[in-house]
Amino acid sequence: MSCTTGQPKWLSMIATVLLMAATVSAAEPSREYQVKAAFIYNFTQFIEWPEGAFASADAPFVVAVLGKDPFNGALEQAMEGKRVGSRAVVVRRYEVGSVIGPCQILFVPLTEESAVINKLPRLVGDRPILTVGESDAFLPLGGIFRFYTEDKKVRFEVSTQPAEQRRLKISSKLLKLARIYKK
Amino acid sequence: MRLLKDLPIRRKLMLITTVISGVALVVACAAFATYDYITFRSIIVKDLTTSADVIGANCTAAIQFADRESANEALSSLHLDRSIMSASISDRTGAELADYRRKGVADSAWINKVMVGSPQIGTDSMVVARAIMLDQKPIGTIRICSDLSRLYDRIRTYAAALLVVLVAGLSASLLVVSRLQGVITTPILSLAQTARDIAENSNYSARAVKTGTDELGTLVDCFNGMLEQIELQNTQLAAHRDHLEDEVARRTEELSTTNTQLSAARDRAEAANRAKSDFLANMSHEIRTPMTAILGYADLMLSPQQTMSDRIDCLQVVRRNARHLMDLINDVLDISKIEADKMTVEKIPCDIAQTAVEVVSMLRPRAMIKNLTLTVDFVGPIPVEVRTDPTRLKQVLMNLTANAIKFTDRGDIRLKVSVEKVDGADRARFDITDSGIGMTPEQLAKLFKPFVQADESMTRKYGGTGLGLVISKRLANYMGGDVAVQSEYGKRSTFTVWVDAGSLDGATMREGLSESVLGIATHPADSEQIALSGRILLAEDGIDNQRLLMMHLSMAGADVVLAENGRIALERVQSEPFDVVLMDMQMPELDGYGATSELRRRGFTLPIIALTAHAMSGDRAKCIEAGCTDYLTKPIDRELLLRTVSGYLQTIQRERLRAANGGIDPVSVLTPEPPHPQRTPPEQIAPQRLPKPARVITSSGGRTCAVAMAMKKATQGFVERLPERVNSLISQISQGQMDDLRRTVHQLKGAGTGYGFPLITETAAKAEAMIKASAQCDEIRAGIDELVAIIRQVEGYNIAVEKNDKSEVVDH
Repeated sequence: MSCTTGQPKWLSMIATVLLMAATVSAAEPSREYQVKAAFIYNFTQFIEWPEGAFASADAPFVVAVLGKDPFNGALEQAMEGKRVGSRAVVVRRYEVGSVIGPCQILFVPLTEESAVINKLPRLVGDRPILTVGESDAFLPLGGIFRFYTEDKKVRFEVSTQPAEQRRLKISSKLLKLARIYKK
Repeated sequence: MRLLKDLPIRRKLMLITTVISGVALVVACAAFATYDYITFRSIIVKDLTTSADVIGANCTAAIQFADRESANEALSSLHLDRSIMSASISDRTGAELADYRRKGVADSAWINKVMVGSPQIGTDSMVVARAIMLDQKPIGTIRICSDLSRLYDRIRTYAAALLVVLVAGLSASLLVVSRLQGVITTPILSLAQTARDIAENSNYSARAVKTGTDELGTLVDCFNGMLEQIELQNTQLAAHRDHLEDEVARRTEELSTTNTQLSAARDRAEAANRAKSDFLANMSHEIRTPMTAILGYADLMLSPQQTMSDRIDCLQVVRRNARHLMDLINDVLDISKIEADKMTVEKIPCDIAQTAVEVVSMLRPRAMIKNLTLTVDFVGPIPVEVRTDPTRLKQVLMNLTANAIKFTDRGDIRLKVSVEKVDGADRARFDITDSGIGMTPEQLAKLFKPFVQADESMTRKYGGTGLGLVISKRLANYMGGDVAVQSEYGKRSTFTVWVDAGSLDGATMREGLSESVLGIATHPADSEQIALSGRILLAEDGIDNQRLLMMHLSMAGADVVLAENGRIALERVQSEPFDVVLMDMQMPELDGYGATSELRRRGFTLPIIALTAHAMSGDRAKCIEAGCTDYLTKPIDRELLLRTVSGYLQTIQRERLRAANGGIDPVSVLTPEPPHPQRTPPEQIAPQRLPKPARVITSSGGRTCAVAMAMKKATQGFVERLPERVNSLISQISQGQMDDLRRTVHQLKGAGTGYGFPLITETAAKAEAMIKASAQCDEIRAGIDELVAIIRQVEGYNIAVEKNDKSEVVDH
């Protein structure tokens, strides 16, 4: 099951409920993605988005997943009831190949990376979107955050140059925890 | 506290100051230390809190991403602070994310139990737990545990510093106090030293030195003031003590003097008392002696057996004793006046030569009886008059001369009169020298004391009151003179009297005076030979006196009219003419004073002669004041009475004659009646010896009724007295008293014819001749018996005897 961008809200809602029901019924989300989902939320706390990142003052903070969702409901779980500033956090899924809808964090799963990696800079452009990937090539191709696993622990690597390009301010505290990617 | 009290003030001050400053310092240091401890602790807490917060803030991401390494790394910065023992960071669930332990700190897990809030402070550590916030939400907890070594270090440093400050402060305060305590203690010590000096030396003139005007200055002032008072009181006490000694000495002396005086006075008083008692005994004796004679002889006279001559003798005795009694009473009156200092003396012209001659004349009979010669000599010129009191002078001379006669048995008595000038004052001097018994010096010493005679045996022998000399001396004193005596025991005494003579300058003096030159009768006038001629009013209430005076006057030839009181006297004078009035002063209804005053008021100018029994001084003046011309005292002296009355009658009749010969007769104006037709011719007025008293009887027919009555009374009186004479005659003849007998017979001889009994005279003459011729007793007795027999035949004799017996009862 997948939710397409542009679908009516109620459909997405239903889809989410269904997804969740299916996930719950199908299988527990993996520990790895639970951590990654929590990390994604934690990122919002150490990063500042510019003013123009939101369509309106009361627009929600959108965490989008491109392509196939590997979280198996863990993302929704992690974001439930959370807020970034005064904004509510919503999770959206966008299809590969289309125009990527409004979002502030765009997670690119490993499975979708090869398909979209080359198109991603074009897709995102210089919109203030924090891109989070999983493969080693994500950062060289212009991605900002990348999860990696070390000693069975999820860690992340940051490329500060694209972040600065997209006017995202990353806290030094976050940077202190991250491996900084250098070209 | 006791110890503290006994400490010297200097020490007390130091102790107090030290304790106060020590306490203040300790309190201040403790306060500082406490403040610093609290402050420092809170600083530590604050530091820890800050560190925790900083580290916590840096760890937020690490906590969010559960990054232990990063968290441990954050904590590891704490190792820079050596006091941090341990620290830990735990996530929201309390699970420890990171921890830090100082080397050597074993266990630190316990700090995770400390909850967020106020720091937990233990004895050696402190834990601060702080929440780590992200977006206002707690995401974890950081705990830091620090040891308190810093705090303790600081406290230790502080304590050391405080100790130093304390020691330094105390030392400084002690130093200052030891310097300044002198300000307080020095004056006190100086004061105490002064007080001790004063107490040891009793030197109250010392003074404490004042150093200021504070309370101690006031104390010093008070102390000095106290000292001044003590010194003053000491001085006063000493003065008083000295004075007291003097006073005691003086008082003691006074007391002993007073005691001596008192005992002397007591002795004198006792002596005086004894003398008075003796005197009273003497007086009793003296009064009883003449009274015994008077009463005894009166009884004798009343006895019917007495002849006339006996009775005359008895009468003589009675008269002598009565006179003596009179003298005694006069003396007592005088001495009482003198004792009471009521005696007054006059100062009137007085012929002292005349006075002396009178005294001698009056006393010569007494001298002659004792066969003594009494003479008066005048030495040098004698003034015609001297101003003194003639009566008193005469009394003194009489006294002394009579005394001389009394105490002299043979020889002579001389009265020497002279004047002399002593100390510029003239005085009259009289020396009475006797050839008598003289006196011992002891007797002389007591001579002028009242109530004392030479001795009692003397009194018995010579009689007298023992007052004569005293009175004489005192009278002489009153007259400005004195009486002195010189005596040679057993040979003679000379009493000298002198009186103040006033000034004799220019006085008329007489030389070569003698008794005969002065021409005074050398013997008392015979009163029986004084004849009166005139009308006399006798105002007298007493029957005996009426009779006596009537008889005296009628026998002398006067016409006497009687008035029983003053009122009757006034009436008589109003209705009849009188030449002289004799006025008794004490009468019923209207007394002599009143009657005299009234007579004078009515214009009666003729003489009024007062008769009074009041012999006291001032009585005479009272009578004269009432208007009396003259004054006679009772008992009436017959001779004086007749002389006085005769004198006035002569004067009046001389004046009448002069008036009748051409002048105005004042009496005729007052008494409207013409002069009495029976008035005696002037040539017969002078006192004369009458050849025969029978004249009274022969002329009786022509007399007025009053005179006839008087004569009748007089005759009656003679007859009534006859039994007494008979008694005298009988007693005298029976006792062989020839002198008395002769006198009695002589009197009967004289009286008989006078009263109209010539037979009595005849018989008496025969008897007298027999006595004179010293005839045989039997012859004399026969003569007397004849006389008595004749007398007993007189008409009315028996009635008289009976009447006398009765009147004895009535009169006495």
